[in-house]
Amino acid sequence: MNLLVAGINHRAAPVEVRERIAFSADAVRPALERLRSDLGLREGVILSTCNRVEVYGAFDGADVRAERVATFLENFHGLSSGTTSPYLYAYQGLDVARHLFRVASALDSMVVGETQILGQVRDAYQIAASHGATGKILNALFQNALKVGKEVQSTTQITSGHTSMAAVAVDFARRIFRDLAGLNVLVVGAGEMGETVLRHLQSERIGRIVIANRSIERARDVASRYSGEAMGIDRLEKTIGESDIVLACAGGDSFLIGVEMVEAALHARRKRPIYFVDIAVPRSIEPAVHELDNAYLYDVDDFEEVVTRNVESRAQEVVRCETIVDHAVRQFGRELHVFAVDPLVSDMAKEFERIRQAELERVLQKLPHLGDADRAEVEALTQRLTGKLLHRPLQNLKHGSLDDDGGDLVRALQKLFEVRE
Amino acid sequence: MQHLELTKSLCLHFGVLFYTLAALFGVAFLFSVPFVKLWLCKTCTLLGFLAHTGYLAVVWANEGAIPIFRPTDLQFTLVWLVVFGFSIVDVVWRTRYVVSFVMPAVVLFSFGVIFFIQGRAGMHGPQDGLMATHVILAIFGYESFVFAFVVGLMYLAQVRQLKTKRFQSLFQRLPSLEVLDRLNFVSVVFGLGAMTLAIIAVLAWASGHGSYSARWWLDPRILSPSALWLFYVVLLIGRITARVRGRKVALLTVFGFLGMIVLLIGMSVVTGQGPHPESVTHEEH
Repeated sequence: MNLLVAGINHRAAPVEVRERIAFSADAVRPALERLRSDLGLREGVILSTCNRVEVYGAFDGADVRAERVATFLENFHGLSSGTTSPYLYAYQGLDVARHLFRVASALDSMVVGETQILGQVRDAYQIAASHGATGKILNALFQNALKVGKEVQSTTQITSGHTSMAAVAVDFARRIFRDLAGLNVLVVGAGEMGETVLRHLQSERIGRIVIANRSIERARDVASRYSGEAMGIDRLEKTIGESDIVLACAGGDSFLIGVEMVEAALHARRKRPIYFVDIAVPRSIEPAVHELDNAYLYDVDDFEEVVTRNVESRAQEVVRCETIVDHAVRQFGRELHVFAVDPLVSDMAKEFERIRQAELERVLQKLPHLGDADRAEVEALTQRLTGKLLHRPLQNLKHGSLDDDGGDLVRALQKLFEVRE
Repeated sequence: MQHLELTKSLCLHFGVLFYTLAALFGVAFLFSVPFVKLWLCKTCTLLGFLAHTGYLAVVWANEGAIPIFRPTDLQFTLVWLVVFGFSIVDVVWRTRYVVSFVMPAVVLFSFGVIFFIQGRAGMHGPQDGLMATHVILAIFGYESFVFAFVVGLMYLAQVRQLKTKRFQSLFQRLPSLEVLDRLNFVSVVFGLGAMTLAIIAVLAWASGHGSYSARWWLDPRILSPSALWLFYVVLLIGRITARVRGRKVALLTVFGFLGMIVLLIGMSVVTGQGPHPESVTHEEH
């Protein structure tokens, strides 16, 4: 039995292609069934995320060519021929394991070290397993992949630190406030980056959102999208006092928020801390605000610095992760080999048993005077003989044939004992 | 009897050993030493705590009184309460990494008790109800101030990183400022309440035993705790009225605790005795 993976990912294919061949949750089951009928795969798993669509398969005998997978994907989604093939990559044998282990470890992700992919691999495997599309080969492959992914996450720093400015900004807020749920957020300006950070904050179930902008119409437009309130920039001073987080993305020639304004706001809120995020260029908040007790101000450079350091730190961890993957691939190779020789071992054992039974019957017919105890002793003798004769060769077959001449050894035994190939 | 002594000794040694391991794992975890996990620190803390509990139970069984009337027992009970209290805080407030900060302090304190206090004289038995109440309440009070001190240090460490914008691995390990500020406030309120009641209890005990001297207001044994009590009252009022908040409160609790240590040492130096000299009746074994 051989292994195959073929698919497209964020590196090879643009999003326009990826979104056209992505599988919805409902489409996976019929697709798994068609993998068997169209491609002749004995086992199959479909991994479909926003960054990749991959078909994993185990097949007997003849080679399953990557082009056939491309055709399958195009046919299934009703696309014209050649839509996917220019972007398709494919691996076979142990390279499949290496690829999947790297995917599960987030080494092949768009953001190296992201943690979502491990769950997506688990889901893809569980869906295939629940539909009976996996067997012992893909079960072993995916279970190993999940193990490798977990090991990489828990023993290296590959997942540590955020790699987007918005995520870092939200993380800083968590270092100041116990829980972001229910916090009041004031957004000064209506820039795109501000909205990105706001979306991150909103996923934390923040409380009141107020959008302050020079153009009240624009403020209303943004506020309507986030169930917030709109106001003019002239009422900033009072609103800062009511806000736990101030997100500035307005820009302009002068600072919109100064030290005195923040001092008054802190006094009004009985010195409870305020977290200022200034992502405007030029900056909207006077830098000296950060010097005030209970006021914490960070600008684009501060966030960029953290992001850069986190990305560098993840890159340094990649070498350690690759070592874990290498080790896991070698181990999986051994498992795969045992799977491969198992039928041969079973056939040889059956053949020896058949010969033992026949010879035992023949001998016992020639020795009718033997009592039950003697007959049992002779039978035990034949069992011991066949057992001992087979034990070492079969052990060597399982372990020794991992060497380079392993394939020759298997073929030689198949020929010598005339057992199936 | 010999059997009890052996059990007590084993419990004490295992307790200190596991606490030391917990502290080492905790610090290593804070600084992201590879392969060191937080569960190692927590497991060692739990094992140490069980041994510690065993030690105090044996002492209690042996003496027939709560282990608070000898300096060693008193300090080990205080340490036990600190570990217990922080474990509760860890579970309730989901602070996760607080144990990494507490265990080094616990270990230092335990070694301090073993090397400097063990063997010193103490009170014989529980005296009477008022004195026992005073000692128990004072323990809770001191424990709360230890709490406030540790939490204050954590707060200052976190603020320093936020203000200097130099984010070390500690940054992710420390709880949020809001959690630390709240813990600090609760500790001071609880500590002050316990201390107030402890002072009332000991005043009642002293009046009953005629222990007041003519110039009692100059007695360092009265003056020192009163000054400390007043300091925390002022701090609490400042915190409630929002005159001081955040970093300043944390700084003051740290200074308050250090002041408490200085006062306790000073009291011993000035009076040549501990806080309860009239009660000293026998040497520890």
